[in-house]
Amino acid sequence: MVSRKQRISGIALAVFLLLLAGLTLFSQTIQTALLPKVTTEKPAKKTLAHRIEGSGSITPRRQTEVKSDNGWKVAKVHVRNEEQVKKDQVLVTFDGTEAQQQLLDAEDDLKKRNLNREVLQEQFVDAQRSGDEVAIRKAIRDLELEQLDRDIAMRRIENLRKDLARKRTLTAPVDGKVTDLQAEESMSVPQGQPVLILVETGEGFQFNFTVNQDTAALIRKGEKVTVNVEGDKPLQAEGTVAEIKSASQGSEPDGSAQTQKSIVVFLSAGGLQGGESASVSWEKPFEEKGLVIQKKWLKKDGNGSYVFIVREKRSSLGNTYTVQKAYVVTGKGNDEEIVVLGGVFPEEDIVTESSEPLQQGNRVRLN
Amino acid sequence: MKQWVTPLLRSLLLIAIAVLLLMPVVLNVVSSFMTEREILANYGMLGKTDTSVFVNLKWIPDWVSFQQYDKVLIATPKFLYLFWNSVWLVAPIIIGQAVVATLAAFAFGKLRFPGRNGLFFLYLMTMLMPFQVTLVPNYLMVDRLGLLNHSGSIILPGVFAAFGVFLLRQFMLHIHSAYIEAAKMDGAGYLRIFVSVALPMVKPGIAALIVLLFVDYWNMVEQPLIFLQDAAMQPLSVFLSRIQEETLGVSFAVSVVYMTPMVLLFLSAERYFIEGIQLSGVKG
Repeated sequence: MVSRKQRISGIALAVFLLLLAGLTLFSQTIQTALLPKVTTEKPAKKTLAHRIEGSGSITPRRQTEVKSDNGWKVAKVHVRNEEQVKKDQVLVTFDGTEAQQQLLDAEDDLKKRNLNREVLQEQFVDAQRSGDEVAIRKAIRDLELEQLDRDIAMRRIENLRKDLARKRTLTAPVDGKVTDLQAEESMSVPQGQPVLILVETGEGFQFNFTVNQDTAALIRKGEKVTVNVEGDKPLQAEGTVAEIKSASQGSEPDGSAQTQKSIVVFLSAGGLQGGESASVSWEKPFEEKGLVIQKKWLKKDGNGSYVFIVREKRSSLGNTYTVQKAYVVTGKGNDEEIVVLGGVFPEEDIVTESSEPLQQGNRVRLN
Repeated sequence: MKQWVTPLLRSLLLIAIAVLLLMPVVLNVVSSFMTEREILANYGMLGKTDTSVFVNLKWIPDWVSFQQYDKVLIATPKFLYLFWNSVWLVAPIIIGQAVVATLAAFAFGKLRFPGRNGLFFLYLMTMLMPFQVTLVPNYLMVDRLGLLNHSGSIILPGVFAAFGVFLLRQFMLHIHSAYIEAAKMDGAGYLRIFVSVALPMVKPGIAALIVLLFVDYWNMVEQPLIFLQDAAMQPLSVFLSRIQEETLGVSFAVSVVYMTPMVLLFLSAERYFIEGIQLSGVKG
């Protein structure tokens, strides 16, 4: 006779053993399901090229500011913006009324002096006649002074005349195109201020862009690059790296300051106007050869940079995968990829993504 | 008044003894629901020589957690493998000894042949000797047989152990000779008598034997510790005996898991167990 208690205990024992058997059989599965999931990739065997990119706006290589040197009121503007002008072509005519007035005043002043001279000459004659030595000396001195004043006045007139002739018109110093025209009729341009800018289109164009120092180190002076110009008519032009100069300090995303370099590229294509935006993009292969990995796979700790690689352990109870740190020696890299000189081998699986933060020796589930 | 005082006192005494005996079991179960951190904080000094700190017996977990069970049953299959090691060692011993012992007990109990008592006494002698005494010869024999680090080194001595023979012989002696005589009269051979007469009558004895053997071998530590050097082959009992060194944090949960089949088997075969002890007057 089997009591109820005994039956229940017997069933419980069977259930318990079955449960343990189930857990044992599925232990790998359950455990694996709870492991961090990782995706892996093998390092690429290729030559890494650094992509150099930059853009800027095209400016003429040379431009001349034509300045006002008189501050006179503008009488007439002979040119318009964007107009092509030849050397010595009249650009602006100024209103010389004020100068004319000054000239007339100076001429009248000379006349006054001529009259004054006659008075002095008469004084001299009177002194001769009286024979007064003192009076004669005074009269001669007055006449000499008068003569000097007259010379000054004549020179002034001469200057004013020349000025009037010269400053009345503003002529183009070189061949070029008019831009930034400031002059307007009946307005005066302050002395020393540019009236317009003459762009010397014949000298070609340039544009510059900034890159960080590492990238700049790859660029050689005199290197030919293809420049994409985006203007009204998009075109490709050949440019030459003309200059590599220091630019202002930039900062990396991680906060460390990095020296920026400004690259100047000369363009010699026709059809450019200046002001178009231009961009360059070209690749420079690295000299260092090695395996190439993505920069974001790299992690850092006190001992250097490392990647997590997956090690496989085969067993009859199921294969297990663990992650291990592999410290790598890195070479140069571009924004995304980096050359690994040592530390990983071509066939190794590098963890690219994981569902949880990993630690050395963690078991993982391969995706 | 006297009528109820004595039973009350008796009950109180029994309850006190039961509480005393159940205390470790309850403590074990309660502790198995503590977190590893709590275990280490309260029992971390176990096995250490530092005498300045004491174990803190806690009856109520700070935080009821299944962390230990999760680790034992799910996160670390090692414990489960060890559990099945135990089953793999104990099951053949029980089955084998039950078969061998029933046949031998029938012979010693119901057959008459010269030197029977002497042979039985000799057989019994092996049971009376503690394991430690026979350890060296056992080891040498196992080594010669090439069974070292093999489950056979545990199973074979277990199958041919004398306890089963002794226990079942007591049961066999209780079978009245008239049954056997009657069977003989009807022309039954010894095999027929064994199968049809003796076996049904010692069934409770076999059940008791199974329970007793299970209790005995489920808890064995010395044999596997000596004969099985490969830790992966050792049963959970060996692992439990030195758990405080390695994985104290889960020791209570492992203990509960290990204890459970024994408790359940005892509950389902309690009657036979008690019967077996009463009849043989042995075991503990």
